[in-house]
Amino acid sequence: MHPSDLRLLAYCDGEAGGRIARHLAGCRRCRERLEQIRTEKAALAAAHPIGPDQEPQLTGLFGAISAWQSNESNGARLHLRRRVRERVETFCGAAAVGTVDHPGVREEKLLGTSNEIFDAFLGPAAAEVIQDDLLRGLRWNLPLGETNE
Amino acid sequence: MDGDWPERNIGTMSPRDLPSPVGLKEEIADLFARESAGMLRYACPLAGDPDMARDAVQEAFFRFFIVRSSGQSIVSPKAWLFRVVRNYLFDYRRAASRIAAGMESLRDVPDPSPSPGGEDIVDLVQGLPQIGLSPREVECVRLRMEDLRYDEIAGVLGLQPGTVGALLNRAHDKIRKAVAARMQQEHRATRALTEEKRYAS
Repeated sequence: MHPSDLRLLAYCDGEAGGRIARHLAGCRRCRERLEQIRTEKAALAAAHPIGPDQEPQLTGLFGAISAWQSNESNGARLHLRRRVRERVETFCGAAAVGTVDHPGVREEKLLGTSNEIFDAFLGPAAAEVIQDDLLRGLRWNLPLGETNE
Repeated sequence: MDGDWPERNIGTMSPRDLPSPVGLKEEIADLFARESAGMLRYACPLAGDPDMARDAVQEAFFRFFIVRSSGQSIVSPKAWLFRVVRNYLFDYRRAASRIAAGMESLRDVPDPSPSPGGEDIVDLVQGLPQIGLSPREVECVRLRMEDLRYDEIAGVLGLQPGTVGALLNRAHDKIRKAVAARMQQEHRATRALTEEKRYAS
């Protein structure tokens, strides 16, 4: 039986192997079909939209990272800490907050520990969603005293 | 079909060793060099505004830095970054549409001006939906063009890898038909022109 276009396309994309390769070796019709799919894909790739002239700059990113690292009293840090504490309390109870958050624990570390707890108690998918939510909408270089939301 | 491509977690794994600041910077620089241009290409049509697209890319790398600083490892950094870009822009669009709805209620006459700086980008985006591709198919095609694997695309879009295969196949089929239709149209137009010239002479 000949493989469907779906399979040939997947093969073309490197997502299907062995059986289709064996079939192709002995089937001229499917080889021609595969060649056609390849040509169409190449044409599509050639029409690939290009981005704007100015690409994102690494210097801007590293500047933001340095600012974050050097400012321990950054407003976003405080906000992130508050969010993590709230989520831990919501999903694991108030007692759990004390086990993850101590004086001197940095926000990054707090994020990692809370994620480990969510992963263990709620599963990796839920932990992922909670972490996305924790990081969403934070303005990373927020001066102290300004609100994030 | 869904069982043919294994599902793969693209996300984070529990904390292990905290990366050294220098090592992490190198990791980010390397990833940035490889992926930022593709991420921007993907982000521009979604954002409709190059500046916003650039913000989304930077935000994704910054979150990557925060998560990696926490000691978590990321299974598929590329797919993870694309997913953050996508979620960020969808959040932005939701917020923007809420603001637009609020503004609309405040005034009687809608503003006819186009979205900021978006005309060229809008032209680029229109291509795929115009030939009848659904938003999901468009996204699958764009992500595949950035060389994401089926399981990675599935992770970005929250689909099964088999569904990604099916969506790509359907998109490919529609593109093929659209190209054939366009060629036929061009052929007819050329023939009509030739006939016209012959008639005129």
